[in-house]
This record gives sequence, C-alpha cells and structure tokens, in this order.
Amino acid sequence: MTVRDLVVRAQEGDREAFAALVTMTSDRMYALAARILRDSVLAEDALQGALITVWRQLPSLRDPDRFEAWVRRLLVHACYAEARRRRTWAANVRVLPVDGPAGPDGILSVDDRDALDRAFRRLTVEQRAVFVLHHHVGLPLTEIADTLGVPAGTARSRLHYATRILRAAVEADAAPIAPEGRMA
Amino acid sequence: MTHERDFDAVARAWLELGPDEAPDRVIQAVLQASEVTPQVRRAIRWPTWRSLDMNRLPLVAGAAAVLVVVIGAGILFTRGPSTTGGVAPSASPSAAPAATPSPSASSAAGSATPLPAALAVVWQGPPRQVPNFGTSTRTRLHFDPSSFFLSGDSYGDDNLQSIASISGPSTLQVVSQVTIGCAMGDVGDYHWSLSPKGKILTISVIQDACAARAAAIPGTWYTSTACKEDPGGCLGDLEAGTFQSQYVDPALSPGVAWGPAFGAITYTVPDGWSNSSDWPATFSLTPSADYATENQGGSVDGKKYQISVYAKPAATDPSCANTLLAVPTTIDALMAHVTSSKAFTSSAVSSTTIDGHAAKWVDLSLSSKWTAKCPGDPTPDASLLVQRDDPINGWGLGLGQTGRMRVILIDLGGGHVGLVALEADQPSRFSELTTSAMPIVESFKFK
Repeated sequence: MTVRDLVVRAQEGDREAFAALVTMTSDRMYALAARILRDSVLAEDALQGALITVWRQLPSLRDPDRFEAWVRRLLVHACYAEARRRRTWAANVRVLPVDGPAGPDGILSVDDRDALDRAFRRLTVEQRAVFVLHHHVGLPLTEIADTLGVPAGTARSRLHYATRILRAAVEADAAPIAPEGRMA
Repeated sequence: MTHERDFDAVARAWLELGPDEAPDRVIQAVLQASEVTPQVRRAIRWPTWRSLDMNRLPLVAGAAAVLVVVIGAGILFTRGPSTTGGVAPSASPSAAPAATPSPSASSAAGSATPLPAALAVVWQGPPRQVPNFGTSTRTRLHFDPSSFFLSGDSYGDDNLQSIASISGPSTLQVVSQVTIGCAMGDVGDYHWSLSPKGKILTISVIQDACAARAAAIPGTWYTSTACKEDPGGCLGDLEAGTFQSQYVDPALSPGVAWGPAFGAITYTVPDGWSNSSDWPATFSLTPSADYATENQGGSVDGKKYQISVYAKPAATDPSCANTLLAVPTTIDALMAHVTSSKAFTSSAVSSTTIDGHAAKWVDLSLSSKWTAKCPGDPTPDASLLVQRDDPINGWGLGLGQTGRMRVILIDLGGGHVGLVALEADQPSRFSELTTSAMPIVESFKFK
C-alpha cells in the first residue's frame, strides 16, 4: 500500500492507516522539532500536538501526495506554539541530549558546538525553523516557503539572518577579532 | 575567516547531533488520542458559506459554535456591502476585464464570488502598526480566491485568517475564521483597485469589526509574482509607476544585523522595466526585454544590462584578491579611487543631486593597456569595489574588456555611501542604457 493510499484511507477515518503514517513519519518529525526547539520535552509536546492535529485535519488535506509537507508545516507551527507558550528561550535548562563528543569527520569542534548552541538561542523560532529546514532537512528556499506558507523572500530573509548570527558566532570562536575593514 | 561552504558543513554537522527517534510514549499518546478524537470534516467547497462542518457528534460544543458563526456570517453577508459603511463604491478595479468580478448578485443570494486572479496573490507593503501584533518591518497580504491572511516579519504567519469574497464592483468582504487577531465571524468591507497592469493594489477600509485587520489591510501594496530568481524575492516585471524595494538596505552600518528594509529605495519607472533582484546588499532594475532573456541565475554571461544598487561599497585592488584598501568611505575618496585606478579609463567626473543627496558619477571602461586577468578569467579584467563588510562572499564590481559602466556614488549621510552602477556588457548599448536609466536613478528616494 502506498503512502497515498494510507493517507486516503486515514482521511476516511481509518485509524490503522493513520497509525502506519505516524510510524512512518514520527521519527523525522521529532528530529525536526528537536532541532528547532533544542529542547526534547518541548519537541515531544510539539510532535504530539502536531500529530493529533494531523489526525483531526486530515480530511481537509486536498492533495494526499503533499502529506509529508503538510505534516511538516503543522509541526513547525506546533513548534511556534510551544516556543511561545513556554517562553524558555532565555533560560532553557533542558538541553538537548547529544550523541557523541563531536560531529562527523571532525568538522565540528566542541567550541563550534557551544558557540552554535548559544547563538541558536538568540534566534526567533521562525528563523530557527527555516535554518533547520534548509540545513538539516535539505529543503530549498522555495520549498521551505511553500511548506511554511510564507513568501520565499520571507524564508530567505529568515535564513539570511540566522546564518549571519550563527556564522558570526562560529567565526568569533575560531579566530581573533580582526580590525574593522581588514577582514581579508 | 570561515567561508560560506565551511560554515554550511559545520552547521550540518551540528544539526546532525541530537535525537532522531520519536519516543514511543509520544506515538502511543497520539494513537490513543486518535481513538477518542473525531476528525474535522471541512466542507469548504467554495462558494458555499457553510464552510465548517463536523460529521461527528462528540464535539457538540464546537459544532454549535461553528453553526452560530456560520449563521452570523450568512446574515452579515446577505446584508451586502452597501449597508456597511455608507460609502459609495469607487470606480471599478482596473484589472483585466476577464478577471474583474461582476457585481454581487450572487452575494445577495447568499453565495460568494471568488476574488479575481489578479487580486488573489501575495501583496507586500511597508511597515505598519497593527494592534495586538506590533510593528513589522514588512507586511504581506495573502489573498487566494476565497481566503485571506496576514504575515509580517516580526509577528509571524497566518494571522487574521479570514474567508474573502467579492462583494461589489470594487469591494471585497472578509470574515474572520478561528484565528489570531480577530474574533471569529468579524466582518470587514474594503474598497480595492488595481493599477493598469495589476502590479499595485490600493485598498481602503469601509468598515471592519476587527481593529487589527482594519489597521493591517489599507494602503498601497505591490505584488511580486514575476520574480525569476526567487519567487517573492523581487517584483519582476513592473509597469509605469512608483515602487519600493523590499530587502536592500544601502544605509546599513557594517556590523549591524540586517533586516528587511522595505522602502529603503523608492523608485519610478516607465513601462518596460523590471525589478530583477533585491537582496540585502544588492538591488537591480533591468529593461523587461533583457529581463525576458534572463534565467533564474540572472543575466546571461556577456549580456548584463541593468541598473544596479550596491550597499556598503569599499575600495579594492584591481587584482580580484578582494582585499580592502584604506580608502575612506566618502564619495570623494571613493571616486578618487575609481578614477585613479590604472586598470580603467574614465570620463570626467560629473556632479549631481539625487533625492537631495550629493552625488558624483563617472563612466568607465577597462584600459586598453591593462593586461592582467583575474584568476581563472580568459581575458583581461579588473575589480573596482567590493562589499565593505564581506569582501569575500559579498558583491564585487569590476569590468572586463567589452563592458562599460557608469559608477554613481551618492552621499546618503551618516557616513553611508550608496553605489549605483549602470552596467552594460555590450558597449554599443551603453549610451542607450545611460539615457534610459538616468531618469530612473534620479527618481530614487532613499529612506
């Protein structure tokens, strides 16, 4: 049975089909939420809320082939809601569990990770979402815009800002401060 | 310095850290919830107004609430727009006739007329204060044939979600759904009109029970459906009229975080021009005939022909090494750098005033004596100016053997210099470009 078949059946109220869809998508969606929110408890709440919304709203999904993108959109909006409800950006003590001491291939140093963790918390949840969708999920900006229901320019500006902040954080950790105007 | 490519790798590696498996307890909770939670059956089969319906009885309260609103909306809607504000409709919108809606006979019967295609697009406008939302650096109205919502850079997306329909020859009506910013069922009536080619929307409020929506919608709006390089990222084909930039910020100080600077440049064009790009540090206007030959990546090699605006110009050496030279950021100092470079042949420097700002311009071509080549280039060329705070990854301006360029430096005040370049890869077209482009550049108003 294809994903489309499952979606169509779930739209008709088939809970087994919905369970299969949840099993297929929940890991990816949790990974997305965890990276946007940088908090495992908030990510669990966002995922749970989003998937229940998916069940309730499934009959309104016009194109079953767009299921995953649609779920992703609902999840990102659930992340927005969690972030705003908890207001824990500034003092988030439930840090995301990290597997392993450093990133793959030695690309990521501990200093990089700490710098990115700190800088990421300075971003709005909307900026975080675009950054994660672009760099982790691998979506192009136009698809991010489509997923989030925002103009491509909005997605672009959010990515630009997030990249600027995060890159500055990594660079600040990696090199001594250069005199203004002599960056090269 | 961490280059863009390096940063991307670091960012991806960092994002790979973290959990990838949803906890079983979450999945179980979702599946248990689905056992007792009914699905919402939305029968939004336009144009019926019975837009919300539920086929399961357990949510009686929700269904009752929806029913109240549907009935309320229906009653309000059948009043027709003429009873809402006592304002006579203005002239018919000037969209293409096929897209212009007919008067609202069907509205009076209780069904709804969809918004015409020319109106049912995304419109962007200047910052505004919206009650309950605050001020956004830029605002967007999202219309489709049957609905509306508002987004803004500082207050998120999907606000003021409403059902939208045409209610008269030049009026539309919006009715709030469950949303942020309006009470469900709030009705608003608006006058609207489009510019001759549908690029500019002018909209005014007749009445609206939702104060936030009444503050958000009225004004002048621009659509950007025709931007090739990034849908929504520039305005694409324009029409004769006055427009505003959305992203570029020519007066941003180095080190200050960039944000969308809607209206940083206001410009007036005749028919036949396009806004071909709009980025934080660059902006361009291209004749539409040339824009038609461009692809998503911009102009075809050897055929660049446009007005370009570059933010934060700084002097660089001609070798394309992108090193910054110790040249003060003033129009006089930068112009001296431009005209003294051995790589270029320059005309006499001319002075002018643009939007009250002192400006100087000069025409340039590559010197016939210049034989050096930038790395990897097959023919002689040289660099001239680069983006001050990002000379490696930011924009760079230079010339090859055949190109001609007018460099216009504008003193924007506060230590900011604006750079406008009229760029023609084909020398035979340079004179034509300067003739047609200078009136546009002289129309620039900087915020």
